[in-house]
Amino acid sequence: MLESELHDLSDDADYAASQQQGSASMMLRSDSTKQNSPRDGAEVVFSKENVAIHPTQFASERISGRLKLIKQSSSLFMTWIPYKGHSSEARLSDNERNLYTIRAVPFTEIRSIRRHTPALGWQYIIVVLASGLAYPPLYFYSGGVKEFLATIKQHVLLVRSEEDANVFLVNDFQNTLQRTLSSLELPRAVPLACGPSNMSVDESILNENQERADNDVNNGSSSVTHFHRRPRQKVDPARDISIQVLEKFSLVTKFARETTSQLFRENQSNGFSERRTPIQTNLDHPRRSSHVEENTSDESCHALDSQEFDNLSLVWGKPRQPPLGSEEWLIFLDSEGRVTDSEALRKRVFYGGLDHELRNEVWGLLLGYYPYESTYAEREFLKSVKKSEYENIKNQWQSISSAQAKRFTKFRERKGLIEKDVVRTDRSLPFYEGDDNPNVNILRDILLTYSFYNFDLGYCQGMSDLLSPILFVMDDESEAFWCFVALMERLGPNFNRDQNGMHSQLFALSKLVELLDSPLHNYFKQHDCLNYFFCFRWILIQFKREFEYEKTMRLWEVLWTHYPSEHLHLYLCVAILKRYRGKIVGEGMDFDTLLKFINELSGHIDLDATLRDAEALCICAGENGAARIPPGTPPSLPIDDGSVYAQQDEIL
Amino acid sequence: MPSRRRTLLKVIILGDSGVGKTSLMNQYVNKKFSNQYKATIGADFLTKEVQFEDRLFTLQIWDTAGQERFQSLGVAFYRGADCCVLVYDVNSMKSFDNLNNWREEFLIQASPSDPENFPFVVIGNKIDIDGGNSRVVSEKKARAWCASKGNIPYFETSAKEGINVEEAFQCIAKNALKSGEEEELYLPDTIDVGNSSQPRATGCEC
Repeated sequence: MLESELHDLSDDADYAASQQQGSASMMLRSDSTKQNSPRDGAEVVFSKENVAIHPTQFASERISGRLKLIKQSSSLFMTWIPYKGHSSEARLSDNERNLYTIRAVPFTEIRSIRRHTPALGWQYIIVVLASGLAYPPLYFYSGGVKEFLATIKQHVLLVRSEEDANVFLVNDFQNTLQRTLSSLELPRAVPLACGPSNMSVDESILNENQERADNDVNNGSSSVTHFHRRPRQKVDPARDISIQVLEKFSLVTKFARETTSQLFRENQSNGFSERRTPIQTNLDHPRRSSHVEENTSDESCHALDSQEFDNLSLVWGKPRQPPLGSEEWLIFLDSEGRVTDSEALRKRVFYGGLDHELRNEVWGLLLGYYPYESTYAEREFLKSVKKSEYENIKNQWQSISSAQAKRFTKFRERKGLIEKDVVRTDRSLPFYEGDDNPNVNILRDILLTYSFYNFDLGYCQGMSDLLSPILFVMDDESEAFWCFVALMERLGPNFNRDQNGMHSQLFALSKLVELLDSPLHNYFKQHDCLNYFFCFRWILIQFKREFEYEKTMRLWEVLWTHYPSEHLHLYLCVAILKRYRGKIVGEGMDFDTLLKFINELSGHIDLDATLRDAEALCICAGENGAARIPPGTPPSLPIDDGSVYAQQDEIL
Repeated sequence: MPSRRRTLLKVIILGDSGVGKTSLMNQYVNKKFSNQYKATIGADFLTKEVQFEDRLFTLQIWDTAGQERFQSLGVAFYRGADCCVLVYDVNSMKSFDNLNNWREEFLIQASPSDPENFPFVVIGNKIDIDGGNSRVVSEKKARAWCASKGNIPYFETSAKEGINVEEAFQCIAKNALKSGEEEELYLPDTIDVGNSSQPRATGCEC
């Protein structure tokens, strides 16, 4: 099942109605350029940057904008205007932007605001209108939910729901809940988690999440399991309404529904267990309620320090899809073989990988060897041109006579090193096994040719690990060579003599752990583990030794999409470390023990779960994460091509 | 209760790529040889319990990547070493010539307190290959080099056949132990008193 990737709201009658309603009641032109100049007595009383919505179920697609509260005479209005042409945002048309824009909505039309603080991730609010419509969740990427609510409270009557401390009722003069219920003419709200009856589209997602949640619960603290056995004691109408409302009107997207149902589950467990994150009690605990905390980006990250890491993927990480197959592949191609929407393709491969039969055709595109816009014919042509180019380079070393080789130490040593490594590269696989296996010789020839193609970089251990699956997939010497060349354009610095590529990645990793898991960072700091050398193998050969062959190929094609980040492999490292933080800290592992532990994780890492966690961490870290990765860190293309592999004093 | 310092002996195996470092370690610890070892990426170690004069020690044997390019990692792995094993392939002159580089690199990166007396052991491996006919480094030559570097103990082994491996590691362990004890005398501060319920002087008698 291919899920629709963008939930287009333009055909949605309910949404259109709300838009109309919005414009009818609009008293202000909330044009961003004029916001700060009060007109007709309008005054901006609150303004927050980086408040975002997620228009699709893909957590990585977000539209950021500015949230404002505007006071005009005695009325308060809320606006949310998406930024224009924000580079890091998902590609969205103006039309789509307009679709989500919240033009000045008066608070007389707002029924309630629900604040939600996921165990991991950013705080968000859901604004429910008196009409019963709700806006998509607004995520506060720069904090400020508390300030937002406090400001509203200064201007309109805001009452906290008795049933749920996270629901704030606006202008609640009497029993708003009953009024809302009757006005909506909804049946008594049915808790979603108990029976997702109207969730046809997302049922699989929910079920999968539920399964995962169950697993997580089983692995986690026992207090939560009680919840599953106990019947719910109390139904919270406010909470149910908001969910019901979100469900009833398809204003919210699938992603919002996922988060909403998750929100619901979390709340249930909070009601019956002690697994509360500190931030969820923010307003109730004076010592945690300072403004400073809420306004810094670190505050948002604080949420990430929670123990409940596994919940993160429930909220953010999208379930993995089945691999892209041959039939579906054709959808991405025009009649002449061009990939019409490379981003859609990359996204699809990111979430599901490729059927093995397709790898031969698609890897060259993902690696950048073939341009996406090339036709079948152009690719065939390129293939033949590149084949003769390869033969020329190969000929450079093949023509070295034994007499010449005797006087060419560097060549002999390089060849010797390669020969030593190819005979111990994946020899247990049928493709490479047995004496005199021709594929082992091809492996050697390609590596030796590469060491002439890129003489400055030469050969370095680990390269044979990277080439092996590529040759296996391409099953053609020249094609494998050029794909390897493309990969090495990005990973070459890993193998550089000064190891600069590795050092910058290990540095970035330490910075990401600091951002995404400060307790673990502090632990590593105390135990002198901040060099992260225990992750060296993971990074140098892209987890090749950590997964079985098929899984490695899956991971690589996912990483090569560079979606949602070029550096997803670093988030993968963080995800694994985070997953085992309890064990690492609990057992008080020192550097040696940690290295051994990490090495022995090989073969025991759940790829799909880790990818979901990594995606979630990457999204949560957002630009804060990206800012911690030095420019030019592999697999980013090197900044300065000229001196990447500058020769130094070394023999090989 | 003896402190950790006294029971854990850390040994680093160094040498060119493909001389048989991983094989030697596995032959000693697991009594196994495989043709399918992969090139070591990063580092790893195996441990083995050894007994000396009624005392048990854990020998922690570190296996590292052999390519020179990875030497900058050494600083993290070499520290706290009690003995360093230098391995070469008797069928490869270059691997023998490089022993000096490995030794110097180790001393720089591990910076032991007494570099002059830091215990090394040299192993010439792969004596089984071709019945010894492809051998290019003579035992005499190897022993001469060892003598010139302060009488480094020397062993010739076959990790594949399990020849002389046990003997070599016995010597390695003994030297590591000696080194550990000497270090204790020089640096009493490194003793973890917190874990020791008795005064240090009597700690080893337990």
